[in-house]
Amino acid sequence: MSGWGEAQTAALLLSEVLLALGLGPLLIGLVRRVKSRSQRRTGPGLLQPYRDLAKQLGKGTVYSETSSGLTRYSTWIGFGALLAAVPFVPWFFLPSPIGFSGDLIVLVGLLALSRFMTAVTALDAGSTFGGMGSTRDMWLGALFEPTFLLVIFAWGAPSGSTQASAIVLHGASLGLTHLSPALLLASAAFAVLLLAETGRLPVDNPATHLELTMVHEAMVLELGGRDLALIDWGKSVRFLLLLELFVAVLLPWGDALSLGLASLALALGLLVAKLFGASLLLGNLETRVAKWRLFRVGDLAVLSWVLALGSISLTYLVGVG
Amino acid sequence: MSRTIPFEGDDAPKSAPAPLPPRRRSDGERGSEEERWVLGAGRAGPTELGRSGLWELGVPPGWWRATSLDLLTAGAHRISSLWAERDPKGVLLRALWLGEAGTRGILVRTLLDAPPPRVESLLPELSPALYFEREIAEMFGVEFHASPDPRPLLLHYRHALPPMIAAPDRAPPLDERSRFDFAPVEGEGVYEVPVGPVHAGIIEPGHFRFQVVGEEILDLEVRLGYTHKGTERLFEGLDPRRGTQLASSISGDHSVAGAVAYATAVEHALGHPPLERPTEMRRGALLEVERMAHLLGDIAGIVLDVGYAAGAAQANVLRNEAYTVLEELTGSRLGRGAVAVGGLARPLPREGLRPLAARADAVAKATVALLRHLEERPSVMDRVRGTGVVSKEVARALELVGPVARASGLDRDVRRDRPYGAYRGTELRVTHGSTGDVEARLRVKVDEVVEASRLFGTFLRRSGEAPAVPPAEPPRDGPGFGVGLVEAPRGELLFAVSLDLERGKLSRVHVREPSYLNWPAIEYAVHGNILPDFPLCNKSLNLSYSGFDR
Repeated sequence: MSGWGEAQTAALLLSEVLLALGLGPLLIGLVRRVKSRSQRRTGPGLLQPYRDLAKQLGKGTVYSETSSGLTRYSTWIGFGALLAAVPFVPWFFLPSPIGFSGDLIVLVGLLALSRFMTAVTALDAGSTFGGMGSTRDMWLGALFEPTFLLVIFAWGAPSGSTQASAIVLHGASLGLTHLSPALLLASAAFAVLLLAETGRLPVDNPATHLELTMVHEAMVLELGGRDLALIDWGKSVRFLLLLELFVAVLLPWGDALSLGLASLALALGLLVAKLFGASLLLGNLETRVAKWRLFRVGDLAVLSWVLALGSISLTYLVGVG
Repeated sequence: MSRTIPFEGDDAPKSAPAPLPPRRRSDGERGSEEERWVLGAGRAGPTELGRSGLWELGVPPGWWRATSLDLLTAGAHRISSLWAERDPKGVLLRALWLGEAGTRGILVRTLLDAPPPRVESLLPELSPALYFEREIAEMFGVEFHASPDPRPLLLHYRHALPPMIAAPDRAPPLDERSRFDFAPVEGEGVYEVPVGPVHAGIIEPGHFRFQVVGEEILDLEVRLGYTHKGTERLFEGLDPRRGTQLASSISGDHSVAGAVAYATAVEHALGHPPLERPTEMRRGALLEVERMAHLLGDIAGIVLDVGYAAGAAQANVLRNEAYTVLEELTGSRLGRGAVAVGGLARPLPREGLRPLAARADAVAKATVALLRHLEERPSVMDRVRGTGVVSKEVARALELVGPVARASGLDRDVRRDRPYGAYRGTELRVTHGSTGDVEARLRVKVDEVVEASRLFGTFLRRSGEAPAVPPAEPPRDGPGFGVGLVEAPRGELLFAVSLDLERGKLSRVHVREPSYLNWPAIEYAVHGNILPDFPLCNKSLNLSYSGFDR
């Protein structure tokens, strides 16, 4: 499907996964830095998330007495699901090496799998907080995953495809008319669900120490060492994946269409610039809002859903797409 | 000394309780209030207690409950504290009752001289008595007859002898946990969430037992005592002048208030002449700037707990500025070591007071600006509005104090109702809310920061040039017992001091922190709230664990 040779496909796949693994923690560090600045703190360096990962990987793991042994595998499966999802997002070259029709729906499924594995891990430890956090996270999943699919359909409507590469290629070919009201509505819907799916404010506060308010953090309280590193690293990859999907669809220009060194370098530079820009915006947004009351988050899901529905209506019923 | 009193529990001989004297029937005849206490007590009427502005009234143990309930209902008094003291003949119980603003407080005492010490419980009529009685029971081995809740309060291990009766080193705790059953809640889908004592953040230890359906809190029970240090016992035998250090470290975030309350109690007990006006003004200035810093810390905490870190950072900057002013005045950021019995431990600087007042004023203005800023953030206001409501009825029944009580609509403030030191003859604006939610507490605290900065400026201006160092040798012609009541940032703080005047040593120091009265409020504030809003309720009540546990 993709016009790349076998060796090229393998190389590109490898580069995508390495990019996701390498860049994820940096973006987390960047957002933290923006938030620190808003609190008049210097904050930790940009590389702190890497140091944290190295520290956790160097530690031994301790398992709860009630743990069934599932935890020994579940964190790996969750992490693996996220790595498997990497190629379904358009990165800096097109078309995607293993793209196929409907690959974005597989992406949603893989993200849901990693969420499920984290929830199961949390339950396995047998602590109340794990149960509490996983209930909340699964509830968020139930709210936002349908919207995620709806946004994908809204995005895919103009090109008639739910394949990431096709959507982006089609968008890039349109020039500035790509930024249609329908696309902007769908992207706004995605921006809202991005906050929920990546556990950012106002849905979840990744910096909180208040265990009763936690969603994601409550699930990982019982983890340490390698397991925690996998979860944290996975979370940063998840963040990067969704952010990249967002900027790739919203700003589809500049991807390399051939393997020329210059075009690849340019595309990579653009990709990093787009991601940094999006992270800075997100960090700024996070400093301006408080965490919402838990059950108000349902309103966010509704908002996101209505925006996505509006986008689809525009495309199909009004024909503005 | 009754060293053989068995600790309340299984080992106690199962003898039938001694018959208690009949309760007094409420007589229809209404004399003057004081006459009625005399009748009720069947003894000599109340006597004046030194300069502390209190009546003291001794009643036999059989009249304890009747007298107390009379004060509560007929006398419209509220209990400020209830505590016990070792006595050669048994255990002495004391309670401080406060009436309307401007009236004298009444100190009721009774001597439980028939072993084992036993008295009728003031429950269920008097809710605040719950913690007092549980503590006295475990610490002094007093049995409160017909108490609905005989569980321990602070001690997590059983003691063979009550620790306040037997010296702790002579009777170490048994290797056996105290029995403590949480109130069960049953029903479909109800589950229990145990939180603490070790928390995910670096905060003081306390255990919270929630009964929850989904996310909604049905019931909460708090267990404390993890930081019990036997502080009251540590005071015993100290030179009264050295106790200020200990008093100011009970709740470190209002150390000036602690020191002033303690010093006031000792001064009354010693029969100290009234302090010079400038000295009082300086103490007042320290109290007010400490109040500013403390309340700003509270405000920062509330804003941080709704997840608005940038706003919290601003509040912390202001808090820091208030602490810096306190440091410039006393040399200590927390105002430690500034207050002494009979005055101040060191003179305040005489230069540069005007700029300090201006800085405090700037902090107050910035605090108001911060509140305006928060009001423009719907995500913040949505979290605080309607969350953690403590109704006026609950506040009154629990006899809450401080900003928490005022936010629920109770108009009480020691500074105005029983003015001491600098507050005598000073106009004071006491603000109070009505809704009793987190927002009301936030607004009351902002108002109090503003008022505190105004008072701080006033007191500094009036503090004059007089020497502020205490006299070398304190007098010893007082009543040997004194009470200090101070409006700490958290509310009414009480120190009661008994002195051995001959030896010049402290024989008993009782401290009742404002949080001691306010802790039960959390169990009511969370009703109907969801679990993730608990930390916000908790922070807005700002309860001191260390002050409770001592």
